[in-house]
Amino acid sequence: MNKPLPARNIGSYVPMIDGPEKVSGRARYTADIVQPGQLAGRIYRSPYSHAEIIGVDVSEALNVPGVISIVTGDDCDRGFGVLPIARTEYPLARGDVGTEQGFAEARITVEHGELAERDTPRPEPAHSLRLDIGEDVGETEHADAGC
Amino acid sequence: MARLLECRLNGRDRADAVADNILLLDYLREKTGLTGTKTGCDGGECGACTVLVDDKPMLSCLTLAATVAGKRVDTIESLGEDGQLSAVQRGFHEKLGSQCGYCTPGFIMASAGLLRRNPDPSDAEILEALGGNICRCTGYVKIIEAVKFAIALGKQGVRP
Repeated sequence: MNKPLPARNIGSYVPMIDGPEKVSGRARYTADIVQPGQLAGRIYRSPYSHAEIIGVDVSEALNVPGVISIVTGDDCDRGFGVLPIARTEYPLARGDVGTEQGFAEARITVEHGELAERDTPRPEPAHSLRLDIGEDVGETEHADAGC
Repeated sequence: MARLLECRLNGRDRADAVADNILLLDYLREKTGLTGTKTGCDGGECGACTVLVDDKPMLSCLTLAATVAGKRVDTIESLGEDGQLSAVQRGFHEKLGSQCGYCTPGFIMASAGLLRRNPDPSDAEILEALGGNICRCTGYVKIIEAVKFAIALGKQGVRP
């Protein structure tokens, strides 16, 4: 068998090529990047913990300055979701499925300027959404909740 | 409603008009543009948002910016001097305490806070001080090595 040649790099110390950036906070991750003209999304949550959505009227919200588009559960083939924990984790629900706490009715895409000045009061596009709901079903069994 | 928030951020006095209810994390990342402090879990469980307020490690995602009025706030961007990494920064870099690096600023600030108040902590004190920071990548062994390396550097006069 051939004698193994000495390895030059295996086992030797190699510094992290992006180490200084990571330890100084200069490393840019996706959420750190702000591009001019980029769009941002806002999620409108259900104010009711369990209810049947009859309809969501987005016509007035579409006319709020800066709003580019609005997506509701009706635009999706099926509902999906994650357990919402962070402020940016909200699933879309179908229009005909009962909602649970934290399920969203609509995703609103706005010009980034709207969000960049989050600390300045501005007309909220979400306030223009009209949500029609039916009688609260009030299911107590998870299997019947249909979520 | 809005207010004028005055604080000493990374060694420089500043005054910003902010909403009353803006979180310290959002103030740092969005208002001042210091994106080194990370939004991890957004709910006080991961420590990625750790900054030092009057040298005390705080979770900026659970802190109202208004509460730091008149105080000193230090973020990851404040560490190091004259282009040189600080002791803790060198530890995480040279001892491979980072992999993806997302938890790293929070760990570094928590470690720096520890070493500012106790330059020679015991192993138990290190673990307790870093108990609020979690890492998905490294398995923590290299992180502890990084902090111990920083302690050794500190004994040679390198600031945390």
